[in-house]
Amino acid sequence: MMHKTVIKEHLSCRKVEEFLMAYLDRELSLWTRVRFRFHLMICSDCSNYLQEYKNTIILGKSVFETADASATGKVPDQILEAIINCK
Amino acid sequence: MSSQDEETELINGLKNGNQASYKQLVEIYWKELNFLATRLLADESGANDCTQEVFIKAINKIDSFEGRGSFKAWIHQITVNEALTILRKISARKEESLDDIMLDFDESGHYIQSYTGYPVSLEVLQESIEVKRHLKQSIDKLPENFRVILILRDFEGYSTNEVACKLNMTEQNVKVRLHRARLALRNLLKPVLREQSE
Repeated sequence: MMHKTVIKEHLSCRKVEEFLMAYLDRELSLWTRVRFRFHLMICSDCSNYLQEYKNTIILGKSVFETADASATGKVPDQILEAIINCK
Repeated sequence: MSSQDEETELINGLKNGNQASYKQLVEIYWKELNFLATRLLADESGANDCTQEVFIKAINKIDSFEGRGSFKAWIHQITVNEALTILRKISARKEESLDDIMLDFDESGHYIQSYTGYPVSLEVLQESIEVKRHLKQSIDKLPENFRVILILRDFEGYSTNEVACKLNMTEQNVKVRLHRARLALRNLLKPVLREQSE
């Protein structure tokens, strides 16, 4: 019975896009979450879209986490001097 | 000696006004703080001045560091505050939009464009120097009012509420901009992702 209601009240891609952040932040009601997940099961575009969205965040995070290794800048001598003598 | 012991020794050295500790502080944190400042300001030379100021403030305010959170979080917080102060001065909160990244739907609410997913695995992309370089450039290209929210919320780990307080915005506004910034970043990454799949 429930699956028939899920199908009947299915979300559009537009709605999925609208609910995306609330879904990731776990702010959707249980019923909307069920409909959201059902839509992902039947729509490869939205499923791929969600994956791309999540991967973009992960990629961005990884750049910041490896900032130590990726940053090339050496401390300019006059800056180091100014900091050491700041007091 | 554990890294915790080393950090305690460094903090004690800073509190005692030891110049060798000042130098050590800069050597340990310059790269990551300068990286953070560069991304927030999207300006390398401005970031050098900003990072210098961060170290001077950290040294001068070291007595106020009580050790409740980590030292790293404390000095990152100073960097974020310093960069935001600079941005407020130079840009007077100019508003820019990201209209070109909005999605297209047909009348029934379905995508007009088709999504195919990432071309290669996330692990491969994370290791690619080219992707990292392109990511940094892409972040810098985002308008300030979107870039700062993306960095603070997604990359520096601030909560939506904390970002809203720092930027004097509503939480809803932060969420809307964050979503658009993520979409814009994803779109800016498309060319390099396409290259990776070839």
